[in-house]
Formats: sequence, C-alpha cells, structure tokens
Amino acid sequence: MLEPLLLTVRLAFFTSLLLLLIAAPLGWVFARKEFRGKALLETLLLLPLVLPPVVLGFYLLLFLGKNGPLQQWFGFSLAFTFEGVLLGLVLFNLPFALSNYREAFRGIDPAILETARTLGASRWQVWREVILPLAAPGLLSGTLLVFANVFGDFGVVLMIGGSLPGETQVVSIYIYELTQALRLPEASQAALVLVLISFTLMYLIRQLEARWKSVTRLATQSPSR
Amino acid sequence: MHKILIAVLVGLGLAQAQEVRVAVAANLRDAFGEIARAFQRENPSIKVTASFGSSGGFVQQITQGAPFDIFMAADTDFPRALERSDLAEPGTLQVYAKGRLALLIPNRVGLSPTGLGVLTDPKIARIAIANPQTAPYGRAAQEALRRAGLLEQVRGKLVFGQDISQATQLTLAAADAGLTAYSFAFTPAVKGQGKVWVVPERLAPPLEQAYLIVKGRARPEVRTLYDFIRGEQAKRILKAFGYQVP
Repeated sequence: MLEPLLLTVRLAFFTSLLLLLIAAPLGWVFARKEFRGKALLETLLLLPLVLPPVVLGFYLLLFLGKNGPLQQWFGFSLAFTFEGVLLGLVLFNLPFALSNYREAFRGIDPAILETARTLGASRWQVWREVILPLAAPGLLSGTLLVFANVFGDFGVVLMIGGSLPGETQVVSIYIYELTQALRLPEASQAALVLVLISFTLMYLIRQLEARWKSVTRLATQSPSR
Repeated sequence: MHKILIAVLVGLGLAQAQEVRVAVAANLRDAFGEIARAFQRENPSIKVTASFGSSGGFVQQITQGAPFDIFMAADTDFPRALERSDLAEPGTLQVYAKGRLALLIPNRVGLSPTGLGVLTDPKIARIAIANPQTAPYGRAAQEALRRAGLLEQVRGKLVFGQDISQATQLTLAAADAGLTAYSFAFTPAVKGQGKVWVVPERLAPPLEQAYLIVKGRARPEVRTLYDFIRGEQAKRILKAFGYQVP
C-alpha cells in the first residue's frame, strides 16, 4: 500500500508543479489576450477533458513506444517509465488546470489593473501586488484539483505504465489488481485510505474556493465605492 | 382470433431472442469469436454475447453477481474458486482446451528465439508478461522463467499487462519480448509481427483451461452452447489456434 501511495503522491506533486508552470501562463493568455487561432488552440488543449483516458493512453503508447516517433528520431522510449506516466498525467490534467487558472485570472476586474497603472504602479508591481494576490486562491485550488485528480486516473497509466512497483504502479492500478486477485480485505483497506485522502483534498479545495470568491468580490467592489 | 394471438405470441418470442452471455479468458479472444460464429450458424435464434478479460477479474465479477451464463477460464484454479463458493452448476466444470505458453519477439528487435536464454540479450530491455496474480498465463510465464533459472536475472526487465491481451499488445507496441498465449500467434493482429517460440512443456506445462455454467443459469440455450464448446466443430477451431483439446 505504501509504495503505490508514495509513488502516486510523487506523480501528483510533479504533475501539479509542471502544470502550474505550463498552464498558469497559458491561462493568463487565454483570459486576457485575443489572437488568431485562439479558439482552435483552446479547443485542442481542452480536448483531453472529453477524451476517455484510455484513448489518450493508447495514443501515448503509440507515441512513446518502440515504433513511435520518440524512438525513431531520438532513440529512446518512455513507455513503462515514471517520466512517461508523468507526461501522460500532465496532458490528461492540462484541461483542468487550464480552465481553473483561466477563471482565476478572468475573475480579476480589468478596471483594478488600470487603476493600479494610473496610480503609477510598474508592470512588475501590478503583477506582484494586484494580480497574483487576487489570483492566488484560484491558482492554488486549481493546483490542488490537479493534485487530487492524479489519484483518480486509471486509464492513462493502465495503457502506458506496465504496472511496475515503485515506478508506474499507481494506487488506483494497485487497488484494481488487488480486486482482480481476489485479495478483497487488502483492496478495501487501500480503497478506504484513498477515500480519506481524496476527501481531505476536496475539502481543502472547497474551502479555498469559498475564500477566493469572497476575496475577489471584495476586491472588485471596493474601487467603485 | 386465436390464430392472431398465437402469431403475436410467436412474434414476441422471436423478437425476444435468447441470449447467452459468456465471460471469456482473454487468450481465447479470436478463437472464441470463431466458435461463436459457427454456433450461431447452427443456432440462429440464440445470440452469444462475449466479454473478454482476465480470469481473476471474471471470478470477482461473477461473485458480485455479474450476469454471465458461462465462464471460460484460462486455467482450472479460477473456476474451482467459483465452485468452492457454490457459484457453479454442479458437474459442469470441465477442461475444454490446453493452452501453451509462447515467447514472442517483435520483428524490429531482430532476434529469433530458440530458448528463454535469449531474454538475457542486451537487445531486450523490456519483457511483457500478464499479471501473475490475476492471469494464469502470467503465472505460467513467471514459473517458466523460474524453472529456466532466469527469473532473478530478468526480473528488472519485466513489465505487466492486466491480462494476456494487454501483455501481447504491450509486447508489440513498446516492449522487446513477451510471454504470451500461443493462440495469439494465430490471430491477424500478431501473425507476421514477430518471431514465436513455443515454450517446452518441462518449463511451462500446458494450461488446463476449464469452463463451467454459472449457478442457476443452466437454461436450455446455455446448455446448447456449453455442449457446442466441447463438440467437434469447436475442437477443430481450438486446434487451429494452437490449443490441444481433450
């Protein structure tokens, strides 16, 4: 139980960290900028949301496997590795992170930013003292959501992982295998631990969202008064 | 009036085609497809619906009340487990085929196996087998490696599929070798994709694959299919897929 759990926590940590670095800037761009092909790009990046994880995993297997372009062009394969699973989880969670971050930035009233600029704040100051504090709860809850979502994935890892203990055997696969091997007491024990973890994470996210909403409401209302 | 009523009743009877649901071990995927087609040619009024997966998974599902009529396993132990829980029609557990384990090396690797020793070749970085806990072919694969004295040497190379189908698919897509059911060598998806070597009996005794009728489900149409699977036509098909038949 401990090894798959720790592995999943490690995957969840790196997935949410990578997505914070990748998806937060994208979220800002999608919330604030207009450019050609925006709708297309956004649709493409949100696609994994409606794609069954198994389909995503299948494409990844073809892409990362021995006949895939990675092997053909660069001579290495990421199938059955921690990095391969991480890549799969990042792609799978991109829509969740992106839409959350986008909303976090969208929730900020442009008037506040203009006010800050007219009061003489530099670009950097606007970011540090206005945008980030206002978006922080939204960014954090988006990141936690991704973290929690990694615990829920099964399909992607099933297709590309190969169930290697300590490397790709995540907790959902581990529990699945216990049920298939008819080791039901262990399976229900592990499932219970997972439920407790998920509950705690969702509770935190909910609290953050409640706080975020009150913060943004305050911030957007105060300048007009 | 009576005639109309009878006609309606007959019509309803036909519309409500009889259906037999079968839980089939993954190694039989293509072979069972052919058996079902042959069966339906003879019994057009009976519809056969098959689900494919690992034997352990099906035991679990049937225990929880999954609506399967017949269970065709990849070994004898898993059906026995159902029998012990009193979930089998008494006397229906029988061996229908013996399956062989085979080593499959995709063409791109460029090795022709003549023994399991080839697995220590540095060209082979990953070996796919089915999960030994849930799939009898996975257990047989692990046992064969142990008997060949190679298990410790190649343990670090092993990756696991959830059933023998997935292990085979992983072999072709992303691993360099795999231990699979010999029957897969005869399926269109595998044929010509790699070199196949049947693991000799002293390393991998043939898997005695048994089937049974699930408790309380021995309806006439279920019986008909059950008997068909032990009949001459089905045996011919099983042989064509590399199985030995009793």
